[in-house]
Amino acid sequence: MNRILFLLILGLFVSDGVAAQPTISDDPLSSRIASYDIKVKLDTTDKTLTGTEILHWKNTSKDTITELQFHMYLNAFKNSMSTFNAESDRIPSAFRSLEEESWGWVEINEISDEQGNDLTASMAYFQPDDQNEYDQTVLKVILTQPIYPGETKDYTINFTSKLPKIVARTGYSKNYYLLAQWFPKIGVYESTGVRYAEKGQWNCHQFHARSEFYADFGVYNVEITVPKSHIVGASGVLQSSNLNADNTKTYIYRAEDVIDFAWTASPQFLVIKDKWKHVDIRLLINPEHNDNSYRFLQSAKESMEYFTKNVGAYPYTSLTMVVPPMHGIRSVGMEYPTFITCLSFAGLPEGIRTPEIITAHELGHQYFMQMIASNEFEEPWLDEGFTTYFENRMMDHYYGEHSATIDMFGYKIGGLENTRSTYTGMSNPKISEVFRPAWGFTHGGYGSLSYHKTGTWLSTLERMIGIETMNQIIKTYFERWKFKHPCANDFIDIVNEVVTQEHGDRFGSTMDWFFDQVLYGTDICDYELHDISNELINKRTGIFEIGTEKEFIKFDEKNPVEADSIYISKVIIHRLGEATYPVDVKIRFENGKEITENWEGLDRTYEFKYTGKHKIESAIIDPEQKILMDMDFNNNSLTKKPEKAAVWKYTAKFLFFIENLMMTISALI
Amino acid sequence: MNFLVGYFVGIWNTVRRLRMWLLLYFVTLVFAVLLTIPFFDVMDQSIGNSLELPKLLPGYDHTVVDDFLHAHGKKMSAVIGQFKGFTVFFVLLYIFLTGGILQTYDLLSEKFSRQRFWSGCTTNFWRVLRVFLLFTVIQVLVALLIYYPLGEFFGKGFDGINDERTFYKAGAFAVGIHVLLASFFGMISDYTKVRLVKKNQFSVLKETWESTKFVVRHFFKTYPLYLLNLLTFVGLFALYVFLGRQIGMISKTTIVVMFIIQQLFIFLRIGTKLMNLASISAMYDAVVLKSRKQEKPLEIEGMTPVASTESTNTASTNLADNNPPTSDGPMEILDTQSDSPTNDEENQDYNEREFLENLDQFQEES
Repeated sequence: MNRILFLLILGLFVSDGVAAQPTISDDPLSSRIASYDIKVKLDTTDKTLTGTEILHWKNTSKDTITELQFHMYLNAFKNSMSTFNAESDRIPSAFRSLEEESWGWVEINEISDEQGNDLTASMAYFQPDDQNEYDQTVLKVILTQPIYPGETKDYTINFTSKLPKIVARTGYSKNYYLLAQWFPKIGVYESTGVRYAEKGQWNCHQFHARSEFYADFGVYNVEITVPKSHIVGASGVLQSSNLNADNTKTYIYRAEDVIDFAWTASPQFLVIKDKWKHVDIRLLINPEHNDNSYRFLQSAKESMEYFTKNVGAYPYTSLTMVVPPMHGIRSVGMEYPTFITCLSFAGLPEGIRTPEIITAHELGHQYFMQMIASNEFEEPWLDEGFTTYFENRMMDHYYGEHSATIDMFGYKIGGLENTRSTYTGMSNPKISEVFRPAWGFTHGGYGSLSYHKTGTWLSTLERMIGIETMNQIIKTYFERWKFKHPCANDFIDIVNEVVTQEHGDRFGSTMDWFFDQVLYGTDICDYELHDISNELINKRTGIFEIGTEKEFIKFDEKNPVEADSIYISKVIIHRLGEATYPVDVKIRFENGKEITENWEGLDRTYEFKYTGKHKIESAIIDPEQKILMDMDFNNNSLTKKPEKAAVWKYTAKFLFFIENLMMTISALI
Repeated sequence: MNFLVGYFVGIWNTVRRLRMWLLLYFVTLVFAVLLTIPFFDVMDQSIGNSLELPKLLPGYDHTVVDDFLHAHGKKMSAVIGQFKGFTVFFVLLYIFLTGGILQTYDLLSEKFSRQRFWSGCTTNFWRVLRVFLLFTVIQVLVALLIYYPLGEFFGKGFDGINDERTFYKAGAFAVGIHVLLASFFGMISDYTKVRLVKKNQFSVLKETWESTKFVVRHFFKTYPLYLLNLLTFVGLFALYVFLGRQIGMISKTTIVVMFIIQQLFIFLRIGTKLMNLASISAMYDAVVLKSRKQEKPLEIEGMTPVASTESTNTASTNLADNNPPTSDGPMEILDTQSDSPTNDEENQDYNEREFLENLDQFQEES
């Protein structure tokens, strides 16, 4: 069945609805390599999806394609031996307690090409990453008819998906459904020069415990049939909906220039609509969370405003936000094209900004991974790190630098503060370099490094080169790579280009030294202001001949004579970490004079030495705290005139705490 | 005596024993200071000369605190770790002191005597210790009884329920029940201690049972009184939080002011503990006395029976002091607390005159 035929049938089926499907954008935004027309029916009794998908795949490479590779993501939840489950932290007994209904799988019942050749027999699971024979998350199909360069071929696939109880943001929980990675989805054929490909090759990784996804852009026409009581939300734009004779309802969606399609269904959703400029916002939320609806909507609008201003335009006309019920909590906080899942708890106080943070983060993914479609399997930092960086920028901008994450009972934490402390607080921040495939973080560090270390070093870069230069880099990156597949080198090239253009060789001929440390290296940064010394010179004591007279001079350090009040003052700096960054050092003298020195930050120890009539009062390395990668800001400064009120404050608090603890214990007696 | 009168008698008797109150405060303060000195040292030596430190003055600064904990967390853990060792010692010390408190409240007509206080600490140590152990077990069982089913309920996840509000309600209900039950058993524990001392008894189990009967029989006097004492603490805490928010610790002056308020709070918190025992002691005395007045004159073996109403003018009947228990058993006094008191039912050392004097004085002054 070709695409036109499919659309004709679709048109007949929806004859009481919209006759013609309006396109969302007049001109294709992307190369639309992988497009799908899918008809799917949800069986809420068996928790299955049965569907037919027509894949329209365009060969944009110069290679002749003889096989297709598909992601069969749901098979990650088929048994305990899948790579996803084997890599997960779940203990075996956790699997043993799962009943049959908890597991999920997907299978292709039949696949044929547009000539009607049945390709089903040529299907075979294989494991490109780990050779785990139990893993069935990647499938290849040998083609009878090759696909030549420039050709577009259609393939018809009949599939059945058994939904798992919600795991990794997909499946069902009671009558709530979140359908993600629910259909056989073609991998990405990377032709020579795309990312790291030295020759044309499929990039189709297995589903790993810590990995997300990678896909080509396309147009999705999806026809969803569910029990009529269920309210549906999905990627793209609703074209029409029809009641069917069998007590079901069919929704027809179209999403253009996207890399994926997700949807949700539940009879309990409240639907709240809003609008931001050209975007129709639709919030699907359970009644118990409705009190927080305004927070999601406000955050969504703020985010789109912020991203539009600082990254690029949001080109889609829809945004669907889903706040899952608490029993479906495993589906919260996930991003799909024009469709995100958020999180709320009933009665969540305003001072805990989880709804806003998750909304901002997932909306950030509309740019970093959805439009700038990096490979989440291989370079998770490119989407998660960038999104974390922008989430912090946005949250700190709207909710305060020191209160964006939490602001309750005087306890305040900002967005960037939280991100930095998550990195600096790692038990082993050297556990891995950031540049690593998602499944390569075998002993931890995936989240802290991909999200938080990257968020921290992007903010460090921003502070070093200035916000204007950073914005220029991001905008250039977006404009150059939207609807494409960039990799690390592509971003670094833009940084080098823009920084050189804006700052010349102030940071060196390239910024590679920076990326070698933060992206490809594991070294940590820690500068310490080790000591301040002020030594009096001319400590004259004894009998001196002044003119013809002999004069006895007794040196008194506390009251030196004016002529003797010359000090050699030193500031001694230590570099405790391996990583090096150029830093400023600000020295303040007793008379209020301040000197700012620039230091390359390379030596293990370094001193600034001054001779003068005034002692050094204090000194601070990196006074503007540009180098957020520094593990400890507290040891960056010293003062000879410490203000210790805060020590007394916390000592009093500690004393009070201990006394109360003792009184609480005594209450048991 | 209704519970309100008992409450004010408790306050009055606490105030009257100011020296004991101060003693307990200073014991607590000294212990806390011993643990706080290392904290001060760690903080002062690690970031005391940093320019980041003043950022902590206006309020919480996450970066400063977090960097401090990352860099010096092990030292801080060691400081906190010391508390674990201190806890055992402190518990034993407080058990020891509680014996003195109980002894003091048993002899309210007399001036506070350090000698008697310390003597009470020694004499009653094992009694209080055994009560503590017994009721620790009971409180653990109560907690298990409440939270194990709750845990099971939570463990089932969302089977049978739709949303998290059910969890909230279940949690709030469990905590509410726990507060009521824990305070109920705490109250029995306190009455048991009071009885053990007043009657110079050693059988913790027996006195626990008698105390249970006592508080159940006089539930609407004893339990409201106990809850009122508890609410006094809650009120004090709320007041502290309010003042803390109004004043803050954002300058040298406010640090000093808040330090004084904090220490005043601790002093008053100790006061609420004393007040609780004092009011329980008074309530116990009042109930027993009332029963005696209504039902039988005071009878003491080997002495001429006198009507209890007259006993306020008689010589001291502090039997515990004047007639210590012998190998034949303590001097018997009619137990009038039960519905059908007999000479054999109860043995008690009860200072009736003292209590009445105390009550009269309170009523006059109030």
